[in-house]
Order: sequence, then C-alpha cells, then structure tokens
Amino acid sequence: MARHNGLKESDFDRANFDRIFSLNTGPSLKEEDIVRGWDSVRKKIEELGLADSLKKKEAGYLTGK
Amino acid sequence: MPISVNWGTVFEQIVEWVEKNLDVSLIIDDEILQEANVFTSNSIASYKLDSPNLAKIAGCIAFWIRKLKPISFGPDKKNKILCVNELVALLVGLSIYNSVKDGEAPKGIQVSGRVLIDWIITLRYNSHSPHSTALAFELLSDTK
Repeated sequence: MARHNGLKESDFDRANFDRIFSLNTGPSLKEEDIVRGWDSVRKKIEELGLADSLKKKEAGYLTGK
Repeated sequence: MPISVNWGTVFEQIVEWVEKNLDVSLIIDDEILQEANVFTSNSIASYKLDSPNLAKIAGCIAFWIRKLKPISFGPDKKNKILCVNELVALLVGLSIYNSVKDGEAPKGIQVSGRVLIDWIITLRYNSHSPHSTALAFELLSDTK
C-alpha cells in the first residue's frame, strides 16, 4: 500500500487527508460516483493491457531487476 | 449551490492499482496533493461557469497532478515507471469524467491503448495547460 509522506499507516492522519479534498464545483458528484467511474476505467485499461504496455522500456518504465 | 468533490479515495485506489500492476512502491505527498486541489479549484473557477461539466473538472485535476507530481518512489522496490504521476493523473481524470451516478450506466471510454499511452507520454514531455487538458477530455465524447 502506498505510504502517505513516507509514514506508517498508524502514524498517518487520515481525517486531515480527507479534508484536503474540498473541491467546490457545480456538478453534484459524490465520492462513490467517482469510485464507480474508476471501476469502469479499470476494467477498460485492464482489457487494453495498459500495465503491460507501460512496462516496455520505451514507454518510460525502468526495472531494477 | 456548489458541493464538495472528494477525489482522495479514488486517488488512493488508483495509486494502489499502479503499485500492484506495475510492481512499484509509491509514496504520496499529501502537501502536494493539497496544493493540487487548490490550483485545480482556481483553474475551474477561471471558467466562470456555475456548473462546469465533468470534462473540465477532470482536465483541471489531471493537469495539476501531472504538473505538481505528488507521487514519488519508495525504497521497498527498485522498479520505477518514470511517467507514474502522469499515469495516475490521467486515470484520476478519466474516473471523474466517467463518474457514474447511482442507477446510471457508465459512459465508458472510447479510446485505444495506443492513444492512452501517447496521452500519458505527452503529459510528461510536452506543453499543456489546464484548459487544453480539459479540452482533450471534452473531445472524448462530445462529437455533436
């Protein structure tokens, strides 16, 4: 799991992190609406094999192996 | 009445997907994310629209993540993907653009793998603005 500011999860202030995202806009957009959007996008990029394409060195992927 | 758009959860989910699928260790800088949120708000406000559409919101968020780069590599793994901030920026933008309200069908993204890769790479190496990035999202669907 990605670490916030390099902190362990137990030292991470999640409430403060959630307060960061206070973007005032016109459209009614709930957090779960965006998560459903990600579910749809994730299926599409997995179908397209995006991760495998990005692992090619010419696309900017460097392996330490 | 404007409402709050919380894109933090999906940002975290996307970062976790990248870690898992590209075998990298990532660190999120919350201060830079906060900065990205402020600059995104300013860019959206510059449209002077009461209700900017999702493409504009998606484009502005994607641009500022790409510009400010809140993600770095952790010490746990040696693998790197140089365009990781641009990849996450685009996926966050696409998720917002493709947001699905309860009971609605997703729009779906009609874009090829080649174009997605090109989009990620150009976000890293070429010149963009919040408004040009937003226009790219507008072009994904609006053909009328």
